[in-house]
Amino acid sequence: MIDINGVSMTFERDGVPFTALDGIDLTIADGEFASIIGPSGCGKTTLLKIIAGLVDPTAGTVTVDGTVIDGPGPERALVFQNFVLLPWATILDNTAFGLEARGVGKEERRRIAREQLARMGLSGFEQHYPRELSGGMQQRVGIARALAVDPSNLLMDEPFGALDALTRQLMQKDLLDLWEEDEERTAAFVTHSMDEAVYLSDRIVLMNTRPGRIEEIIDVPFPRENRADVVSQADYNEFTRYLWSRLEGMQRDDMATRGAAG
Amino acid sequence: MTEPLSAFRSVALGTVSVIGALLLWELVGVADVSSALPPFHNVALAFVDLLSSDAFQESVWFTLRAIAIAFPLTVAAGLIMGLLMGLVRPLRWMFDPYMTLALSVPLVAIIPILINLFGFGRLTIIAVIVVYTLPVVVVNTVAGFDSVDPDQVAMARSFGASRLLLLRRVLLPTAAPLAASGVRLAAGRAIKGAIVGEQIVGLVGMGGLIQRFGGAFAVEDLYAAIVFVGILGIVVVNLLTRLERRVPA
Amino acid sequence: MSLHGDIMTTTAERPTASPKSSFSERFGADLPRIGVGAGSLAAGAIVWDLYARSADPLFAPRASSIWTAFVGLLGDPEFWRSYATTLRPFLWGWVAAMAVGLTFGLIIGMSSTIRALAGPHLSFFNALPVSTLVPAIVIAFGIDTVARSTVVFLFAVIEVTLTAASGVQYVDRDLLDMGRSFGLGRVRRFTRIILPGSAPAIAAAVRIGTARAVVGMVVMELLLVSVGVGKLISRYRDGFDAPRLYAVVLSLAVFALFVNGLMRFVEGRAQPWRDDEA
Repeated sequence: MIDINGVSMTFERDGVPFTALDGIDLTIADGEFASIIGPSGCGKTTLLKIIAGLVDPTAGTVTVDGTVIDGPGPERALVFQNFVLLPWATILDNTAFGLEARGVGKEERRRIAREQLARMGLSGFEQHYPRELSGGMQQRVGIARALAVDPSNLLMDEPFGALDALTRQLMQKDLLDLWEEDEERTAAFVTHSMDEAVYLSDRIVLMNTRPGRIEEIIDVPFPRENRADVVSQADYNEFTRYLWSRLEGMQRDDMATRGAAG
Repeated sequence: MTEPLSAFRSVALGTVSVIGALLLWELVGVADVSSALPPFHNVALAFVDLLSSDAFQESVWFTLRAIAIAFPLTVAAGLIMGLLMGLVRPLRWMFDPYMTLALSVPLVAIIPILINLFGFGRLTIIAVIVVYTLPVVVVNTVAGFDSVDPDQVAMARSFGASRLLLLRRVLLPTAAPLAASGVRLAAGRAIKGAIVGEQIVGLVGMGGLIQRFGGAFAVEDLYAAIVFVGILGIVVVNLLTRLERRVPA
Repeated sequence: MSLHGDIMTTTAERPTASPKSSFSERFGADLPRIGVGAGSLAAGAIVWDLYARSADPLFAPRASSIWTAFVGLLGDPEFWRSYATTLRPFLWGWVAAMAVGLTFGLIIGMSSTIRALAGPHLSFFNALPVSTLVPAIVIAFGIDTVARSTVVFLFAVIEVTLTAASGVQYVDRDLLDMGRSFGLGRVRRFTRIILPGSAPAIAAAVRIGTARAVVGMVVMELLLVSVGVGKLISRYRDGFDAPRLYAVVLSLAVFALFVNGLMRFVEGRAQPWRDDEA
């Protein structure tokens, strides 16, 4: 459970204050998969970093599983857009990294890491180095690393943004499969892909820019179980058309104001 | 791993640190720990005296004139050589071994040879400056041409750009920043080369003066001269860094 | 802040952009490059020889007589004794510069406060020709091992510090964030992320510092000519024995190339994860 309460974030950019986030209120329930989507510069990644405890908000609080957060914590794990694997560590050590940070013994953490790698279809790559793996495989390691610490909240920052379209679809499907194994786990998923958001989420949080704010929170009106088969149906089209019209409007407004400002 | 400090705090801490170091120097000097470390105020006084002394002015002029003669010519030659080597592959093959040698061998070692060839005067110092600066300018300029993105060349070709347009719009703008940092590095090396050359020759310029102060155990004058050379180095490098920022990246 | 930008960039004596391997630099096309390069070096020797033929042999000896003198020196026990004398302070100075420079570099790379405190001093000593300190060192320590080691140390330590520090500063911020998100403690953050992340810079610091130490060694031989290789140089110079003078200088170049090659070899070995073979 993630409860965001009046979170604002102001940076100083070239001496001029810049509001990245303005009064964000959002609750993501236990077991819910929420996607955060919006045009670039809407602060969605900053919001995720605040939830992760990597960035302190200028105002407001984030409560995770009933406790107001003050930095990163063991109940959350983050998956990064550009994987962020240790280039000098093997795949096994990379997967076990979160456990190592928490002081889990060598044998135990390696056993868990092996298990997670097997679930990701990466058995046999334990002794390889990250650069020997494709982008998709590296991100599988990133996800395995996050799941290895068994977090009740999984935070993902455009995890498939750096992958090609085919790999991306495959990874989305595998993520959903993994996801459905644990009904209590909460997910916050930042993306700029509409299809991805619709395919994965229970709710979609639409954000807008200047200042970064929540524009609308939309329930995805399809049951998760047979979502893959729903793709061609007319109501799916209608739903994505609605989403697209909102996003397109925001994107065009943003381009217009930028053009006028620059 | 701490966050970067604000510019103000950074400058403030630096200033405090310099003042602290000078105080420490003064204390150690007054305590007379070593004859090699006179109190700071004596060195400061010697510095003021030094600036108006004839021997000093003569030495500074000698050194600066040698640099003023050798540096611009060497930079010009280096940029042209770098350009040609960057564009014409066989030329590059010809001169690469010399440049690699010049950058991997301690160039000070050939100063005795330069003295043997050019004597104990200005010619030797000029030769030292040339030897110290030319390879840096050339190698950096060549590296600038190496950093050109092949896709950009392909793009220019696909639009039927002439060789001249390719050079003007793609190659030169890409190479310019690295060539400029080569020139900045060369400026620092010109000073270092001139001074060490003069020290080894032992008779002329700031380097010669420093050797003579050392030989006469004139420690206050010696430190004053060293501080002057250090400040000169900082000023020249900062000046060149500013110029470098003007080069369009 | 400009100051620290300056120090960090002045460390790079070599071009910062790594040359992309173009077609001609691939294996098959290496032959013309090596051929032209070797031919060019040979032509250089011939040009020198032609010049030397017409010049006074006291100043410009023939290439062949330099070579004969070089081979002669290699068979002379005094030559090797001189190198032994010169190498001892070199090793002491080198060890001290590495120990102090790497430790200090890692510390100022990690702490922006210490970096701000050290900044002005590092800039000054980076801009100052270290050779100017030699007379002061002689007054303080004389001309024996301590003084000579100090010269080598001072020549190397600043660049080792600056190179190591810049390496720490450029450790991937994302990796640090990742470590933080998993609650990594201070000690593990240093051993698991900062230290391996700075390994390339530390290796570069050792290589550049070693090259600087060699320069320091040569400067000390040229300015303090009482023993070692410096004594040989001054003897042959004062005795107008040009071929032997040139041969000693040549031996210094060979020594530098050897040390340089050794360092590059070690540098390549030190980072297995960067090789193609894991």
